[in-house]
Amino acid sequence: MSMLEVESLKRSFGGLVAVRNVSFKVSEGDFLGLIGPNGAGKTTLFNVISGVLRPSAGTVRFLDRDISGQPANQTVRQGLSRTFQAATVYPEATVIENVARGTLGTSLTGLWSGFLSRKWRVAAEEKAYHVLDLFGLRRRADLKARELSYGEQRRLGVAIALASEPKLLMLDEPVAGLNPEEAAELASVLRRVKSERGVTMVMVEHHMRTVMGLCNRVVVLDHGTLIADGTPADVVSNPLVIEAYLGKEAVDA
Amino acid sequence: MNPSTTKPMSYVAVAVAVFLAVLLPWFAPNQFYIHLATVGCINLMLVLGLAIIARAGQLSMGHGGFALVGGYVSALLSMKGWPPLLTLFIAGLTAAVIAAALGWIILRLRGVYFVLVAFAFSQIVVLLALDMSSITGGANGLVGVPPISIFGCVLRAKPQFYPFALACALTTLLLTWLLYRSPLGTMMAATAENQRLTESSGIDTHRVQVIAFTIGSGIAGFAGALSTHYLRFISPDSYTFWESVSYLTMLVVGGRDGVLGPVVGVLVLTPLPELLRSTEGLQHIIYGTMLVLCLMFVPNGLASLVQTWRSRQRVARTSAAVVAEEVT
Repeated sequence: MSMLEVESLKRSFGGLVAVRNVSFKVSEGDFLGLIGPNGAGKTTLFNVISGVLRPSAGTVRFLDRDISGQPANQTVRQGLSRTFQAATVYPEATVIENVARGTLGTSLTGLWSGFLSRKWRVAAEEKAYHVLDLFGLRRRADLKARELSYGEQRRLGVAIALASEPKLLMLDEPVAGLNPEEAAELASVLRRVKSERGVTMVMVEHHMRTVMGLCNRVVVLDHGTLIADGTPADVVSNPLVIEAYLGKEAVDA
Repeated sequence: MNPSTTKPMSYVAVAVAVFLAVLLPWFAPNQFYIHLATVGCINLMLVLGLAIIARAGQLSMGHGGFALVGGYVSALLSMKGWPPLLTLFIAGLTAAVIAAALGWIILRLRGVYFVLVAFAFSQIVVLLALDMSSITGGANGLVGVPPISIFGCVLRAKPQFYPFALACALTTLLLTWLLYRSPLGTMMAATAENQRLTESSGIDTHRVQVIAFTIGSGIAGFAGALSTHYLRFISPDSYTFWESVSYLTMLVVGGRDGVLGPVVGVLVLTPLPELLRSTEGLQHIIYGTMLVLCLMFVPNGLASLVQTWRSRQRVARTSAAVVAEEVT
């Protein structure tokens, strides 16, 4: 079953077309890598799918429902979560509070529930501790997020997104700026999340080793256009892809 | 401050503080102190209202405008013969409805634009009160607003009004505390700290901010009405821009997190101008100097001093636990 269907999606900023007629599908259980040179429109595509930006044209279907142009908070409640490029956490809140806040949007029945009872907090923290276990952050639970190392903050960012119990998790450059050990650690966490929770994932990433190690399918974007779609091995040997990354001479040589 | 970390010690401290506040009329040397305490109760409600709005990450420079709306609504209705105890709540509700309508439109504006529109709103309310003199009495205001009466007991004198004001302030304090502990309060704090991330966690942050603005402004309307029935008078000068600024000052000096900040801010800044009155012309200079010093040395408010101490303990505990775990 296809989980996410992107159909002739377009997004322009004034005269600049950042994403041009992009179509692809994500099936349940996929780990899709979205790669491309700098400025190819990967993050814009991400923002349009997750509802941060509205599409200029085209549709995004999630679980057979049209979600194009829907605000981000609604797509999350339907099961599509995302992370951000920079470390996006609540710096002044404790680690456990960070993840507990991530659970609220999808687990509460109404805004006024839990005004007198504390059950909601116990439930939220219990759920959050499970997520922290998965990410190896339980020992850091009582520290403030800003007291964590950069690598741990990045992991916490993914943990917050996972706390909303998504069916599809979209990761925007999860290992950018991490050292090789931290990158490997995050990759193993993602693999664990995938196997334990059965979450379908889409990842924008420059770090090719991570992409090759994790993804079963890769789509390549260049100048806002989709130029390749296939297995990692297919894609790296595709002349169009090599040209996009290294220039035309590299292909001829 | 995370309200869930409240320790038994703080419950004792709260009980003692409430007890002292209740007993105030018996040991106050004269009625002026009771008057000051009543004004403090009303200020506390206004500052708590402002704190709730700030909790969701917005700064309202039109807080006085909502108090003025509440004051006029309650004064006019009670002068028509409605019971003041009822009109107090109608006043709060009216302010809340206006805030909800206004908030739905202007909270889409971020940061400084919201501040400006809220400021403009309070100015419009003052101008309306001045211009609609056939209803509001214009610049002269409304004199002879009926006093509040509860079960036939008329709250006319200061010692009678004070317990009612205290009860209102304590109820507001309790409700605010409950709100901060609730999921909604948690969402408000999350929105203020990182709106984009909160939106991406499936929370409609715009709605959260409108609700906070509605609650906070509703409290301002109620407090404005309460003050009007206490002073038995309201005029366009009762809540000007400077009142809005002074509530903001109390909030900043006391501290924006938790409910302790507003209490500290009100306790320090309500009596301060009176205490400084004996210094003749110097009072404004001393008041200003104290504000600057506060902002320089305790930028998170006086209440943050308690918090800093707690957070040191927390870090010490966590690092000790981590070290212990790594050693074994």
